[in-house]
Amino acid sequence: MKKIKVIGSYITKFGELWDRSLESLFEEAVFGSLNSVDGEKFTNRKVTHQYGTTMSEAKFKLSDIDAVFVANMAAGQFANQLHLNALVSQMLPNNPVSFRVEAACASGSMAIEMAELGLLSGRYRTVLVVGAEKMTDAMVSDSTKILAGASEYQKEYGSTFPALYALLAQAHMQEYGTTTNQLAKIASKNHIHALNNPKAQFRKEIPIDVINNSMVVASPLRLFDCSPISDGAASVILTTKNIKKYSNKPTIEGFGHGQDSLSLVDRKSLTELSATKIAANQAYRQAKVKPKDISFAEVHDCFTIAELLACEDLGFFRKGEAGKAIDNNMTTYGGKLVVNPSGGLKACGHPVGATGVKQIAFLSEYLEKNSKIKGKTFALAHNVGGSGATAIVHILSKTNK
Amino acid sequence: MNIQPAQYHRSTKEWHHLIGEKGRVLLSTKVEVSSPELEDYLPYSYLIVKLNNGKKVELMGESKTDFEIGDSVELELRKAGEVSSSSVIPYCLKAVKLD
Amino acid sequence: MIFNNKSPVGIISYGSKIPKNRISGEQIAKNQGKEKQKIYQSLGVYSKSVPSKDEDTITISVAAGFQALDRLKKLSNKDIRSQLGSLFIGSESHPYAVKPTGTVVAQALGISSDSYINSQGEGFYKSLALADLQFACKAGTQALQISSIYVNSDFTNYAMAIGADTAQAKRGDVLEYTAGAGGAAFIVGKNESQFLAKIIATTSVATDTPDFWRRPKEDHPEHAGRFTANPGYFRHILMVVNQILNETKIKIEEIDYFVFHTPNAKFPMTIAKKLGIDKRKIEPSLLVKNIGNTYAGASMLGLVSTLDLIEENKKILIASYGSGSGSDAFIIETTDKLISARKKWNNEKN
Repeated sequence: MKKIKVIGSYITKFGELWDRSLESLFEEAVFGSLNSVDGEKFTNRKVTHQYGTTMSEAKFKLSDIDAVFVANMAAGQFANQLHLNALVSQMLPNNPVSFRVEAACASGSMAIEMAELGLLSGRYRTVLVVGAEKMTDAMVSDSTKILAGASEYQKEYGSTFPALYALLAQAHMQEYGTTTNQLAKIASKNHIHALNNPKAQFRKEIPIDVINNSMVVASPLRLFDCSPISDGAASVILTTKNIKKYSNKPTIEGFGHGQDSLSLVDRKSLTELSATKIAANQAYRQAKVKPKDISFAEVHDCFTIAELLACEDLGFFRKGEAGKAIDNNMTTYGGKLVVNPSGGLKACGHPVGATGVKQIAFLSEYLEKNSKIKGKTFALAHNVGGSGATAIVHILSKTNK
Repeated sequence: MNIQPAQYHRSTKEWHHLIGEKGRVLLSTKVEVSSPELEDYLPYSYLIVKLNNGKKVELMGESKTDFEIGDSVELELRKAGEVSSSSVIPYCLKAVKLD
Repeated sequence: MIFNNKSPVGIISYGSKIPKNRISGEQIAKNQGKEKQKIYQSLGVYSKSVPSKDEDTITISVAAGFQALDRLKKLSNKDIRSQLGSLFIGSESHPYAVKPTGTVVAQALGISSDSYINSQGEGFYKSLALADLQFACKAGTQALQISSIYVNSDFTNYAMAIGADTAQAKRGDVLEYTAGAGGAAFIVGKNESQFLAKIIATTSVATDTPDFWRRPKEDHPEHAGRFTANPGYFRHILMVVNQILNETKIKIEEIDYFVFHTPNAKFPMTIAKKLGIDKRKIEPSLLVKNIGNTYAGASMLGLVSTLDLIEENKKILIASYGSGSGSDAFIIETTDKLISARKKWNNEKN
């Protein structure tokens, strides 16, 4: 595979951003990632965009962006805004070709995948991927309905996302003896990780007994087993141009994409997400690595059970053993690998369209600061759409000589 | 949940294939938080049921009833949720516990 | 009308649905702050059925109708739905003021006109005559009468009649003790070999007697207190009983069981006394003691309960009452097929 480098990245603050519109979040992320690209020289000329953001025009010019990939799930319902590809393209003076991508909660990683395919085809050489979601303008009750659109809403009255993942939790608990305490530990761990992430929505430890006593949303999942409603955006710049110049930047080593039925009743198994397994196998094969080679992973913990399933489906632990691994602190610092160093969806927040892009942006920045002093360090990003109908996995690396 | 007339019309086509079918509860969750039109029905159970004919279905349980794995159920037509007094009334199949 | 033997009509299957929940008369009295008055005792209604939030007249009608069809399939091994050409549903609580309960029920039971056409337009359209009826508590039996005539006239081979209600009462009113929920469905056919009970005769009476009414924008009915008794219930039931006995020349002593409308458990007992009938002859019909008055479902459920319990070759006289006012009467006779049907249904249940 042609080498793809992540040469720029940016994540906005995630949270309830009452003063921020969807457009302003997109703009902040777009210009944030552009500004983060190293240039050899910086001129003093400043380019001021209509929203007021400025950037230094460097050797890396805005016109170097051949295409833009925009990830968003539901701006049409949350913010009455469609035609997002045009909205973002107009932010750049040369109005580059622009695509909007939607795959429910996997929108972000699918936009990254589409960008990669564009680069690998040779059609584009440098692309910008941005994901954003503005969810807090809607009433919570409307959000529940909008998010449920990622499942077969029309057919299954009464189905909510927590209910679907609760059924998966029930299945796993029944088959493998996984406990609610193990699920609570996942939430607790992610909140501790978020203390080190200034962009995270929640930067506060939550004791296990508070998690275990929070209100039931859909049994056995409680309030603190569920990721929040969030606003936010993230962006990355990917290139296949001047690779030698960016040798110190993270590389995308492989990616994979799996699909499964929307409805749980059509799945072969309810104790795994087979879309994740398919995507992971493709990514590992392309990157020529195994699960044991992964040092950090951002996985899709929309609910705590989703992280537990991911740990097994991605091959970090054997089937049925993730619960025990969590009990033994194997998914945090000092363990086998660090899962969700950003705080995950649970503590960092989950602006739906942004999450998949944020995972790549975060891991790129994280690898720059935390890779091995010598040799190659591998990181994995795992993003899921709906209750597991879509799953996309990316593997990144950073090499230090 | 105000259902559009054409959507309602399409949704009714499958009813008669499933009404009266019996089966067992495979998985069950008690939902305590849901959308506004289901507020009067909380808590309700959301189930995966394996029917005696081999098919699996995902559906709500009858109002205000707890279900456990292994419970015998039958599918009945029930109101899907509360809507405005001027809207078409949505109905759906729900699982009803058999004694 | 007496159905002649050239064109016989009979009940070939039946079903019912009564919501699971109950509230006791004691609890209602407590809620009303009238524990000492023991009103429920004077009415003879010790508990009543309460529908769940997700139940209404449509869901109750579907359940009763499904049971009737399912039971018929067990008896005859045949699916007659494509020949079921009429559906009449009587209720005081149709969910829509305009749009029939019947079309939703027909769709759910697979007897709608387009139930036999697939998405490619292949198949056939079936005939279906359908309307919702409203005549207070006699709307269900009116549906049964119309169904009998439709079969007798050869309009259809099979007809379904449903009486169902989720009765309403004002908070604190005496009707609160009795307003229950439930429904029954009967399938009527012309093939004597299928008759569980042969319909011998039917007749009706109606007068303008405003004993109980509800205006469209009101949630609950009004009633005229004691005026509902003699000028209402008793007058019309006695009228229709006399009418049917005179028409058929059957003597009252020849009737083995009676089903009278049950606004409470006391009124049917009083009618029995007035007619000189042994109280035991109405006992099987007195579901009201436990489920309350199910309005358009009441006489229908009273008949279901009687058919569930009695022997073959017994004559039943049914006299319903609907406020406003009117009564329908039927004389039917059970067959030995009723006994074997009940055995088959009970065996399959177990």
